[in-house]
Amino acid sequence: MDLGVLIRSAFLSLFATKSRSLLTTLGVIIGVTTVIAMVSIVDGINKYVYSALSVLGTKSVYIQKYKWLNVGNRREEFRKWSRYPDFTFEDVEFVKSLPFIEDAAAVQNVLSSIRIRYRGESVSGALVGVDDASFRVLNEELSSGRWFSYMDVIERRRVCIIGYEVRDVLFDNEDPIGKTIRIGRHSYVVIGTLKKKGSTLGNSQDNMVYIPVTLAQNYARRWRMRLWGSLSIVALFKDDVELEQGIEKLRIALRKRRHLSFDEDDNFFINTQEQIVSAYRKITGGIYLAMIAIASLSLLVGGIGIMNIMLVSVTERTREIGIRMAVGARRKDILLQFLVEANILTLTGGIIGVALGFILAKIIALLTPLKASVALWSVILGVGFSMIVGIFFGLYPANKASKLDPVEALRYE
Amino acid sequence: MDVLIELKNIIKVYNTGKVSVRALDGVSFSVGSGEMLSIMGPSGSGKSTLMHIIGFLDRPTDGKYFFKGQNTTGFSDEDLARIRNKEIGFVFQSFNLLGRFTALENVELPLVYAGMRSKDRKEKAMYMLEKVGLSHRAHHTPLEMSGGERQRVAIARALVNNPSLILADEPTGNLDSKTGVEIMDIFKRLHEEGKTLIIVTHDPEIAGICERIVKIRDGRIVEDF
Ligand SMILES: Nc1ncnc2c1ncn2[C@@H]1O[C@H](COP(=O)(O)OP(=O)(O)O)[C@@H](O)[C@H]1O
Ligand SMILES: [Mg+2]
Repeated sequence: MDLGVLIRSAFLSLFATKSRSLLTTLGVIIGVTTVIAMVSIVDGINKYVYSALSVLGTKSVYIQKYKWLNVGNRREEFRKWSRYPDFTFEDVEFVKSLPFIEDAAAVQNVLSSIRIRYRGESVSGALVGVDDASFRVLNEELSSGRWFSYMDVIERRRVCIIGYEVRDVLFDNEDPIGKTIRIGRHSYVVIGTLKKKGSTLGNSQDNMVYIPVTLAQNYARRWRMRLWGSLSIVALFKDDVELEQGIEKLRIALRKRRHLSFDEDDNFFINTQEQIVSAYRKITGGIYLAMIAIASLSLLVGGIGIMNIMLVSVTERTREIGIRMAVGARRKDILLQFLVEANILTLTGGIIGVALGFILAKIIALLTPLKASVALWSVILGVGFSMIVGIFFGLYPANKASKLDPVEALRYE
Repeated sequence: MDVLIELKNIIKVYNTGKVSVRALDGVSFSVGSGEMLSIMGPSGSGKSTLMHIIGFLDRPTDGKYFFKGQNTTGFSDEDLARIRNKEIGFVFQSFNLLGRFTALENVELPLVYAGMRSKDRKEKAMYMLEKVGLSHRAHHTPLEMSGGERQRVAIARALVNNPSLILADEPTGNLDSKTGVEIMDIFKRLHEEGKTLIIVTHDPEIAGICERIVKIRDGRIVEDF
């Protein structure tokens, strides 16, 4: 049968009951709006997170005594990890010498918050110990001054490099290079400043204060920071090395160096950005699941509404069905007509839903730092689902219409 | 003259709850191609039931119905729909037009189900409306028309697919006598063109136009001349 005629017939009868048709599609509209808006929000969060993580560089790994994002029995594991042997500067040199490693550096987190003073001003900073190689490995960028030299590190010179925020608060327009600042109870000479980096996942990256790693070890020893204050090795793989293979090679090399026999577990961890990403993916997976549940529920409710209204429509138009049969409509013509009508209802709802979802995502983009992006697949999903609802819930009324007896239908008042 | 339809001992029983009504009780007759005949009888005598069976809107409970020499007993619903579409033009007392569609679209409807292309459909439907003198009303809906105009649209619809048999069940029943005469004039013209027509009517004057009158009472033919 002629599709144009089918669609015109459907629109004629749907327009005859405009407000009823619109109310009927409400469930579908809500369902599709939910899908589109939620997908674009989650997508926005994803993009935000991934771009933040990529700042850190994905080819580098952190060799440490502890594991990132651990979900096991914390207290027990922390105790176990504390007893693992510390990494040494010799270990750093060893890693650096491995053939698949581009570069490696020693990094020691001391305190995430320490008072830093200059003249009358003071600011809270994160104290981190680094060595001369860290500049390359951590992909740092200087705004002024210089990075630590090898001599700064081995002679434990009291020099430091400050982040953008620290410099901004303490120095205003003054040139900080060569000035002496107080970090905790000690004095350090500023030899360099870092470029502005912004924040990653809500943590400012500009309140860093770097000191030579050899000095940082003193703090760690004094404060008995057996776990978090232990020396980390940041290793950067060569460009042609695949991350997973590189990690495995590195693991084997470290086990050998520590003389671990085959039945002993590793006494170190190789942490990667990927761990954060995959943990994050688990969370967003949950959000997606909840979203699908909400959307399917409202589509179900919407579908039942469609079915109900189509049943009413079939009854109201019994005579029309009789007339069509009298002039030669086959049962399948009638079936198709009502299916098309149900589908136009749900599809209209789907399209309105896509538009509303898009607007909602735009509004959220305006109010938050998230980027709104309506993924094509979510549009296809929304429209596709509304069609499936139309077919599924339209089938019963359409079938009922097609099974009418012509004479009975013509007789109907 | 070829025999177009032949009914043999047609019985139709309606079962409504406990009582069963024998609406047709052994009707046998045949109609030749090009005949114009009227069926008369009191209300409730089974005229409409007979027309529905002849027009393939309903099936007999028993008996045989030959259409163009073919026994139609085993025909499927789809076969019947096809015959209604191509062979039968039905005109009802209450017009039975689709209210939301224009006159032209109403006339097009059988051609839609015949699978004809839009352009050809429009052309043919327009020609039929011209034939019943309503081409100027083609884009009006039935609601904007008088009873006589509506019945002319219905006749155009019945004729549009060039059926071999036109059935009219009290076509003038809802019209004033002047308009009724106009409608009968159309039927007369169709007869002159060689169409086969069966018209149910109460009006002896209208029946008088027909060459043959079949009288029916209590589901049986009581007179056929
Ligand atoms: N669908 C039906 N169910 C039950 N009885 C019916 C039905 N259709 C018709 N009848 C009965 O069959 C008889 C013939 O009806 P009908 O053919 O409409 O008569 P007419 O058209 O001559 O007035 C009547 O007694 C009527 O009540
Ligand atoms: Mg009747």
